[in-house]
Amino acid sequence: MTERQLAFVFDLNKCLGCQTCTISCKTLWTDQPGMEYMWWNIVNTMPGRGTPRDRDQMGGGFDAEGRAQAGVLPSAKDFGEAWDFNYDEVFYEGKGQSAHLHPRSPSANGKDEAPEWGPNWDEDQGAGDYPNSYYFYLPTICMHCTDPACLAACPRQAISKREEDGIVLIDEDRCDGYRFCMEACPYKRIYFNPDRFISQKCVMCFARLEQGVAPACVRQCPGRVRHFGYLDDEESDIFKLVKTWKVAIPLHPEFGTQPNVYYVPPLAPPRFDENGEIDEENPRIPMDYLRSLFGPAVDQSLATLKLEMEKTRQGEKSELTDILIAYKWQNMFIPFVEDPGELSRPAPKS
Amino acid sequence: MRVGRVDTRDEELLSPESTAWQEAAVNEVVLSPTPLELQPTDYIRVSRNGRPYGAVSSMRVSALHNGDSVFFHLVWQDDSEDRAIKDINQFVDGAAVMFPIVEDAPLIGMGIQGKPVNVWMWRADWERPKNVAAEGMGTTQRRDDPALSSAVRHADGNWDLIVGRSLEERDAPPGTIALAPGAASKIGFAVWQGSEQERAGLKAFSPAWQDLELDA
Amino acid sequence: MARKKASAKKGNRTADSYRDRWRWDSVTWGSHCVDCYPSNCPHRVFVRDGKIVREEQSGTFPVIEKGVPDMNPAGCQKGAMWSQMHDSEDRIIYPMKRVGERGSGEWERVSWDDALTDIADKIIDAIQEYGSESLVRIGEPAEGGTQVLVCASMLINMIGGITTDVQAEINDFSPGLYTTFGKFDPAASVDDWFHTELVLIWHCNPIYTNIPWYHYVAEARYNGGEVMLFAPDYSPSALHTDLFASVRPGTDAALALGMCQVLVEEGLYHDDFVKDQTDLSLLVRTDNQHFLRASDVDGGRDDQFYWYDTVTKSVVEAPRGTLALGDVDPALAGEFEATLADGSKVTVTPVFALLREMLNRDYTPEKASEICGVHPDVMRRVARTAARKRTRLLMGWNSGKYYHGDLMERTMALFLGLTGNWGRKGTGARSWAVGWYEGLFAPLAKEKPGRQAARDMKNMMDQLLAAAKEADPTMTDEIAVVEGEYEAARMGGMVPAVFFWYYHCGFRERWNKPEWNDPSMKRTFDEYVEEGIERGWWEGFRTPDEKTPPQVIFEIGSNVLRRTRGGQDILLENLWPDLKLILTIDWRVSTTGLMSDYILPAAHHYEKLNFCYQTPHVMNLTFSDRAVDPPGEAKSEWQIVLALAKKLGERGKARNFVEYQHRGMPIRLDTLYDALSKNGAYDDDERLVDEMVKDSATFGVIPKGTNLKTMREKGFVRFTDWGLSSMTLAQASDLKPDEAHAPFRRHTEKKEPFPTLTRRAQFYIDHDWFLEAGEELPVHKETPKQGGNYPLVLTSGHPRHSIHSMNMTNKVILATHRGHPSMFISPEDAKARGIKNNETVRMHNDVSSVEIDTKVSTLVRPGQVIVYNGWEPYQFEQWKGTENVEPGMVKWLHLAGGYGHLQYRSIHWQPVPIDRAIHVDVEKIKSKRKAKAGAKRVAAKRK
Ligand code: SF4
Ligand code: SF4
Ligand code: SF4
Repeated sequence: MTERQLAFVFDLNKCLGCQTCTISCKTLWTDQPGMEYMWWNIVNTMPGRGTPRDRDQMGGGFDAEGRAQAGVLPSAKDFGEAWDFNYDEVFYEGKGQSAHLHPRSPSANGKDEAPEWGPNWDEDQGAGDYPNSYYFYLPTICMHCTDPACLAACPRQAISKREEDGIVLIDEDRCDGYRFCMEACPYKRIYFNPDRFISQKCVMCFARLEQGVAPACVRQCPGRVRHFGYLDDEESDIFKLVKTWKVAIPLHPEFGTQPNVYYVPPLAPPRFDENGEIDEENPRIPMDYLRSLFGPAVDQSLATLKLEMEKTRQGEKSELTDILIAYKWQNMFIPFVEDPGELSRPAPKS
Repeated sequence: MRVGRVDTRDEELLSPESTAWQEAAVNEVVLSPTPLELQPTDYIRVSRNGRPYGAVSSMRVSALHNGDSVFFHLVWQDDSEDRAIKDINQFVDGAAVMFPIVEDAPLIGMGIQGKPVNVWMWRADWERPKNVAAEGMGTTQRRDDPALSSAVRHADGNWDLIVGRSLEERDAPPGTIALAPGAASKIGFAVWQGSEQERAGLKAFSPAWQDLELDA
Repeated sequence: MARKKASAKKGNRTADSYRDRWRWDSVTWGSHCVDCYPSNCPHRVFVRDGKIVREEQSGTFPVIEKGVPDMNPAGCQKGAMWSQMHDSEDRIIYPMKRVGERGSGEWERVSWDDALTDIADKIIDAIQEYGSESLVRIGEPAEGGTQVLVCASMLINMIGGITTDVQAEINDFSPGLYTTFGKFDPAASVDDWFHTELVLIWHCNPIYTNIPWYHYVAEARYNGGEVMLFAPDYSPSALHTDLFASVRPGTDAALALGMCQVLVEEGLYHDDFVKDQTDLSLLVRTDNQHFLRASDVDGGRDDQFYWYDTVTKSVVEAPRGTLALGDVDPALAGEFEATLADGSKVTVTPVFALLREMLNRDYTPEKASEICGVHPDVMRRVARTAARKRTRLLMGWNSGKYYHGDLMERTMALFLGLTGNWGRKGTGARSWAVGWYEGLFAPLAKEKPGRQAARDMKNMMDQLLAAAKEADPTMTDEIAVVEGEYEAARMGGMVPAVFFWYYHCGFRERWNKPEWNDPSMKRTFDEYVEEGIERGWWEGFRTPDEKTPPQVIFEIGSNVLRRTRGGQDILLENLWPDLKLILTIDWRVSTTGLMSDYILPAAHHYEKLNFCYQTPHVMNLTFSDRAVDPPGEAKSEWQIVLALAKKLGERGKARNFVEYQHRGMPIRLDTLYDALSKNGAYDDDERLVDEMVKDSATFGVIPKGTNLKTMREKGFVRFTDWGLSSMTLAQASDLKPDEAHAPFRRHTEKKEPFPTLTRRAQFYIDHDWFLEAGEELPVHKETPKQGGNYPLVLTSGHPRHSIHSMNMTNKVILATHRGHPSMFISPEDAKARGIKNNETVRMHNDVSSVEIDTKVSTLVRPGQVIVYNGWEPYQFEQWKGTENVEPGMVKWLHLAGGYGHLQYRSIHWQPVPIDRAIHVDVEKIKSKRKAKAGAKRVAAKRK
C-alpha cells in the first residue's frame, strides 16, 4: 500500500456509452505519433469482447496465492488499428461515385482491406434473446492497482507507483519496450508505441491533478458517472461508495491486483416471461454473468442499491442515492475542483 | 579469443563479405538459454515456464582490429529474419557482446552493483548498436555511441553481423570498456530471436566469459 | 511488492513531457452552434502556437433551483473532438469550382472574385428568366450556426428568393402535438426532468441523442422516479429503465389508447383537468359529427363552442378567453338537446362520451395488446402509475416521422391530458423549441444601427401586439403573436417545402400511389392538392410553382442530398439536371458539396463568432468565439454573404439590371450591400455580433448591459424574459431565475387558453377531411406498406456518433465505431437469410436498392432493421445511402387548412416527409463487389 491512493468510482447505471471520456483522453494525451490506435480510456458494450478483443481471456494478474499469471500480448488488430480512409480518392481524384469513403486496415500494406475489428466494434450488439436482450456499457482505464501486475512484471523497473497518491506510471526513459507489462496487466490497459518503442498507458492525468484539476475523463463525463478522490478521505464520495456503502466494487477482483477503479454494477429493467408478462423473479442480466465480471460482491451491492432506490420511491431520503445523483457536480471529485479555463499555463517557447 | 591485427580500413572490416574476414580465425561459441530461475521477475519466470527460449545453440565468432577500431564478426542461425516489428506483439532479432569493466564482474546477471559490465548491443531495427552500461539486471543504461558501428546481412538462414567500435576512449560513454592493442579482457555473447518473443533476459547466451586478447 | 517511488517529481523527463503537453497560450469560449439540439454546452477552447489543440466543457453552470442537480459538465464526445475537425481531411479552405460533370470529383481551385462573379451572373440570369422565386435556398438547420441562419436568410430574402421550410426539410415536426395544442414545442428546461416521477421515454433515444442532459433521467430515477421505455427495439435508452415495453413498430397509438381506456374505465382520469384544459367537455352534434358552434346556434362565430352545464342543465358557451370553468360544471357524459338558429333540435354529446365509447369498443387493453404486442397488464401498470405520478413523455422527433405519427402523438397527448400531466413541474411532453433571441435578427431588421433604432423597433412591436389584443380581448400574447405569424407567412421568404417537392423533385408520382398510402385516403393525392389550392389554404405558399423551374439552389451549412427522405436519386434525377447553379457554402466536404458547381469555404465553428440555438431546454444565450483565424481562404458566412451582395450589385450595374419587382415590391441590387451591412456599419463580424447582443438586452430578454465583451467573459448568460417569439411564448409559463422551467403552467395555473381552434387542448378535429378519414378522434391505424410488400420494417434515428453528417467523416470519431455505415439486424432475421455480422448486404424494396454492412444485434426486434442516419451518401457503395429506399411519403391530411390552427406558418403545420417503418427486405450479395484500387493518396487540389 502506498501512503495514499486515488481511486475512481464509475456508476454504470448512469453510463451512456458515449465515449466522451474516451475522446477527452485521446485529444489530451494519445494524439501523438505512434499513439493513433491507443485509447487509454475505452467504453465497451458488455457482454462483448472488450478492448483488446477477448481481453478477459488474455490472462495476467495474480492467482489467489499471489503468483503471477502468464498473459497474452495483444496485437494492434486486437486493440483495433488506426484505420486509413481514402478521402482524397473520393473527393478529388475524379473517380465520381465509383469510389466511396471507407476505412482500410493500415497493416494491409496499401491493399484495400476492410478492417474486421476496432476498439468499439461490437457496440450495442449485446446478448440474450429479444425482448429479453441485455447489455450495458463498461468504461475501463488503467486501474492504478494497489498491487500492479505491470510493475511487478517489468524487468527494467520502469514502472513505479507513486507514494503520495498511488498513481502507476511508466518511466518512458527507462522503458525498453519489452512489453512484459502488457502481458501481465490483466485488464489489458497498456499499449505499445511502435514509433517510440515504449509502452504507454493512462497517467491518471497527473499533470492536471498537480494543478488541482480532475482527470479529463472524469471532468468531461457528461453522464456524471465518474467519482474521483482519495480512498482514505472519509468525506469523499469514493470512501462512502466503496467503504461505507460497499456498492462500488472492483472489476474482476480475482485478477488479484487490487484495482482502484470501482464500479456501481448495472441494474436492468425486468425481463418478460413466455406470456409477455413481467417476470420479477429472474433478472434480465443473468447474475452469473455479473458475478463473472464483478465477483460475488455484486449480489450485495445490487441489493443495497435496490433497497435504497426503493426508499426514495417511498419518499424517504437516502444518502447513497444522493451521492449518486451528484447534486453538485464538482463534489464528485473533491479536492480536484479547479477550473482549467482559469489557469495560466503558457506553452514553453519552442 | 584472439583479436588479430590487420591493416585494413574500417570500411572494409565493416563488410561481412570482405576478404579480411575470410582469413580471420573462427571461434565456435556455445550458447544456451539464460536460466529461467534467474529471470528478473516472477512474471517472466511464470510466463516462460514451459515456453522455451534461447534456442540458438552456437555462434561463430571472429574478431579483428586495425589499431584504430575493433570488430567482432558474429554468425548464427536464425531462419526468420525479424528486422522490424509489423505488429505490436512482435519483437526484433538482436545480438550483443559484453565485457566486464572490473575483472570479477559476473556475466550472469549482467554484472552486479559495484561490478559493472559493458554491452554493445545490436538490434535489427536500429541504425547503430547501442552502448549499454549495467550493474545487474534491470539497471542497464543505454546510450547512443557514435563510435559504435555495425553491418549485417541475413543469408541462407543465418545472421551475419559485424559490430565494431573505435578504440578511442575520448567521448566514450561512461562504463565503456577500454580496449587497446595488446590489451586483454573477457567477452560474452547473447542472441535474441524476435520470432520467439525473446527480449530482455529471454535470450541465448554464452554462459561463461571467454578470454579476449588484442594483438599488439 | 510495489516499488515505491515518486517518479513524477520535478526533473523526471517523462513527467515533464506530460506536463508540457498540457499547456496553452490562450483560452476562448467555444460551443458547437449547430442544430445538435438542445446543444448550448459551453466549452473552453485551448490554443497553442496559433493552433487549436483541444476543448473541454467549461463546467461553469450555476445551480438554478435548490435541490436540483446542476447542468454540468454539459458536452458529448462530438463536442470534445470538435477541434479535431479543424484540419481534418474533409475540410475545405479554398473556393472550389467543378470542372468535370457534377459529382465527378474534378475540381479546380478558383479565386473568390472569379467564383463570386460567376455565381452572381447565374443568379441574375435566373431572376431575369424566371423571376426571383426560382432561387431556392434549402431550409437548413444551419450547421454553421446562427450566423448562417441570419446571413443566409437575410440575403436570400432581400433578393426575393425563397427558403423551403426547415422543419419540413428535416422532417422535425410533431404534427400530433400541434394538432392538439396548436403548438408542437413544449420544452421544459432539462433540469425540470429531475422533478419527474415517471419518465416515459417514448419515441426517443436520449442515450444517443441527448448525451449532455441524459443524466437528469438517471438522476430522477435515483430521486425516487421511475423510468420506462416504449420502443420496438431494446434501445440503449432502455438500459437504465425500470420497464421496457416492446411495441410493434407503428402501433404506439393503440398502446396509448389501451392505457387511456384503463384510465377512463377505472375512473383514474383527472376530472377537473379534463374539463378545463381539454375539448373533451365540448359538445358535438351527433347528426353531423361537427362541434356545436355559435354559427349553428345563433348565427354567431364559427369558433364559439359549447358545454353542457350540469349545474344549470343547459347548453352554455365555453369561453374563448379563458380555460376557467367559472360556475359551470361541464358534462363529460350524456346526450343533450341543442336548439339551432332555425329552431330545429339536434342531439349533442361531449367529446369525452364519444371517446369513452370508442375506447371501450376498440381499445380495451386486451384489444390494444393484440395490435401493439404490449401485455395488457403492462398497460394497466403504466396507466395507474401515470395517473398518480408527475409524468413526462420524453419524446423526440421520431413519432412525427411515422405515416400516422400524428395519430400517435394525439393519443400520447391524450394520455397526458387524462392523467393531468401538463402545466406542472416534472410533467408534459418533451419536444423542441428554439427562438427567443430577439437580437439575432434585430440588427438587420431595424432601421439603422444603434440603441434608439432597437428601442423604436421594440415599441412598434409592443404596439402591434397591444392593438391585436385590443381588437380581440380573448387573445393572450401567445395567440396574438401566432395570429401575426399566420399573416406574415404569406409574404414569402420561408414557404412550405411540399410544393417544391411535388412540382419539381419527383415526389408527385409516389405520393399518388394508393398502396403506399392509407386506405382512408379516399381520393388521389392530386385531388387533395387541388382542393387545398382551390379553397385558398395554400395561397402564397405554392412556390416555386409548376411554371417556375428552380434555377439556383443554395445549400448553406446543410446537406440536402444526405437527408432527403426519398434519397439522393430522386433529387439528382428530377431536380438536378435543370439547375443552372448549385452553390454549397460549407467548411467540410458534404455529398451535396460534391454534387455542386461551387463549394465556398466557410469558417469552422471555432473560427467565427456565433451563438447556439436558444432553447428553453437550457435557457442560456451561449457564445462561441473566434479562437483562431480561418485557415487558407475560408471566411465566416457573414463575410461570404457580404461579398456576394457586393458582387451582385457590381454585376447588376455592369449588366444594367439593378432593379426588379417581387410580389409587388421593388428590389435593388446596387444597394444590396449597403442595405445588408447598414452602410458598412456591420462590415465586420464583431460589430454585428456586438449589436445582436445589445439588441437582445434592449429587448429585455437578457440582462441590461450585456454586450460582446461581457459574453466573452462568461461565455453564456441566462435569459431573463421570453421576448416575443412564438416558440418561447408557446412555453406558456413564467420564467423565473431560480426555478427550472416547466411549460404550460399559464394554461393550468392562470387558465390561459391554447392557440387552437377551440382554445383548448383539442382532441377532436371536425375538419371535413379528418371526418372523411375517420380521424376526428385519435385512433390507431396501420402504417401503410410504403416501399412495397416486404417483410422487414426499416426504422432510423439520430446516431450516437454524429450530429447529422457533420462528424461522420472525421477519423477520430470514425474510430469509435465501425467507421462505415451499419444496419442493425436481429440474429433471427440475419440467420434466416444466411447473413453474418459485418457482411455487406443489399437492402431493397420497390423504390430502390442499396448496399450496407450488417451489425447483428440482440437489441433489434425481429422483423425490424435499423439504420441510424447521418452517414454521407459517399460513404456508401455508389454513393447510394439508405434514404434511397424511403419513398419520402407525406400524409395527405396535412394538406388540410382553413381550420383554426390548421394553417401554415413558418416551421409549423404542413406536410412533412415520412421515413419510419419503410418496408424492405435484405439479401445476401452473391458476388461481393469490393473496391479494388488500393487507392493511392494523391496530393489533392485542395492543397
Ligand atoms: S463514463 Fe461518462 S463519458 Fe464515458 S461513456 Fe460513460 S457516460 Fe460517457
Ligand atoms: S491496470 Fe494494468 S497497467 Fe494499470 S496498474 Fe493495474 S496492472 Fe498496471
Ligand atoms: S485519467 Fe487521464 S490519462 Fe487516464 S484515462 Fe482518464 S483521461 Fe486518460
